[in-house]
Amino acid sequence: MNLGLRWGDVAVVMIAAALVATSFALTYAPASGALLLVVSQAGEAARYFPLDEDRKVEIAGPAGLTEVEIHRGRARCLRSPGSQGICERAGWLERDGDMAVSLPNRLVLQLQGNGAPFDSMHF
Amino acid sequence: MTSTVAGIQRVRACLVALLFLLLVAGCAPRSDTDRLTFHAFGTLIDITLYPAGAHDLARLESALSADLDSMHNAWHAWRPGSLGRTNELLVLGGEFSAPPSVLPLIERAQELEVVTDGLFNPALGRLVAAWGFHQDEPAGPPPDPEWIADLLADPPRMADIERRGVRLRGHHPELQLDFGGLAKGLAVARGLEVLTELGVEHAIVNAGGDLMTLGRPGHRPWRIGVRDPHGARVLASIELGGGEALFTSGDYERGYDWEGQRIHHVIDPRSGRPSQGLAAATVLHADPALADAAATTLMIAGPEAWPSHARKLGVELAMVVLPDGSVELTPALEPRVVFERETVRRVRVASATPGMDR
Repeated sequence: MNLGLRWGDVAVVMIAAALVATSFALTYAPASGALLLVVSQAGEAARYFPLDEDRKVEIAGPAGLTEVEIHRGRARCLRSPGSQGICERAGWLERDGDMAVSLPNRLVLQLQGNGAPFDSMHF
Repeated sequence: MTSTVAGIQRVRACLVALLFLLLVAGCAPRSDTDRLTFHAFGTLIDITLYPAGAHDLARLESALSADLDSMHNAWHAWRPGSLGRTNELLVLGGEFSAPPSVLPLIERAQELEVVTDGLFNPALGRLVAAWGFHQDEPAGPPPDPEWIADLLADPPRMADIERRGVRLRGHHPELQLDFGGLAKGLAVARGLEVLTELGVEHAIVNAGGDLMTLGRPGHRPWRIGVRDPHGARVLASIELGGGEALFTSGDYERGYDWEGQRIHHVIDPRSGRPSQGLAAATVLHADPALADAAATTLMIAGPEAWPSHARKLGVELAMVVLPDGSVELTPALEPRVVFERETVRRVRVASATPGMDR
């Protein structure tokens, strides 16, 4: 069947097909490491911080400031209100799904990577 | 000839449209759910809703937080409220009408005390308070060993509450109810009821890490990450269908350090001290209140007896984490858990005979 396609049409179709395949691969590929720090805080929309940029983030909450450090593709809760130090004790968050919680400041820090994110975290 | 050219043009247009659709689909956001995080019931509530963009999040948050906070105030173990008034009246020994919000907890707790051979005993609130857990920031000093021994010589039990319809009478001067091992299960169940009443069909209600599912997100299961009890990392993942509750009791939740020792909030009614031998116990069950109480019971039962207590409670899906980080789980749960990192794990059955290491 002659569709009347010329070499230019074929090239466009092939480039488009390659783009589609690449976008699917990037979207649904297995997790290869964390890309983002997701900050979920009660009453606020989730905030996203890329892990490839070193920085310190201060998050204000009902009990004071939670200080988060992002360094070399990982993140940690540096300082946070609360006598038990639960947020700080979580240590460095390095892999997809790793999380730290500050109940006094009503926030969850969690890393998200390429893979399908968990629907919920049990702890 | 004109019609042939028109046909070719239509085919080319369809091809371009198809490729465009595929490209858009490939670039679409991964998450097919909405998340709603707020503070209620004294903890972080995290609601997952499917499909994304289909719900009035502000309306859901308003309804849920009002209901959950109302339950929290009524059931609080040390602040004034319905449970506080009930505790005051129980120690007086006279008959009184139970507050409607508290009666279901008492009924359920009395059933659970029997089936757990007394390991689940919410009548020991006085002991929990003595260990410094009836305050927002738990703190020592621990109670005097002689005081513990005196209390446990004749400990208050749920059976010391006489119940005739809605009328109650206490028969022990040390009775003090603390429903810490049951209330969250009932709250999560109520949260799902509220969502259902508001037209939600597919959701997860997560209250401080304990959760229950409603429906399914389309044709896939819910994917749940299970956090390591002693760190930030994901220990395992588990897929849930609709109507499944996942509850954990652990030594890492509430506690404090006293003279180099970690004091946690799960108190063993036999010793009067924080339970020993397990770092965490997890139960998966269709009944969230049972899952909550069973997780506490297995944590108290310890490394030898947890399988037999799970069987007696009708719990087929359970997992415990030992202090060294190794994991034991029931045969029914094992195929459903995917460990995200190298973990020593054993399958345990009710005979309490350890299985083979994996």
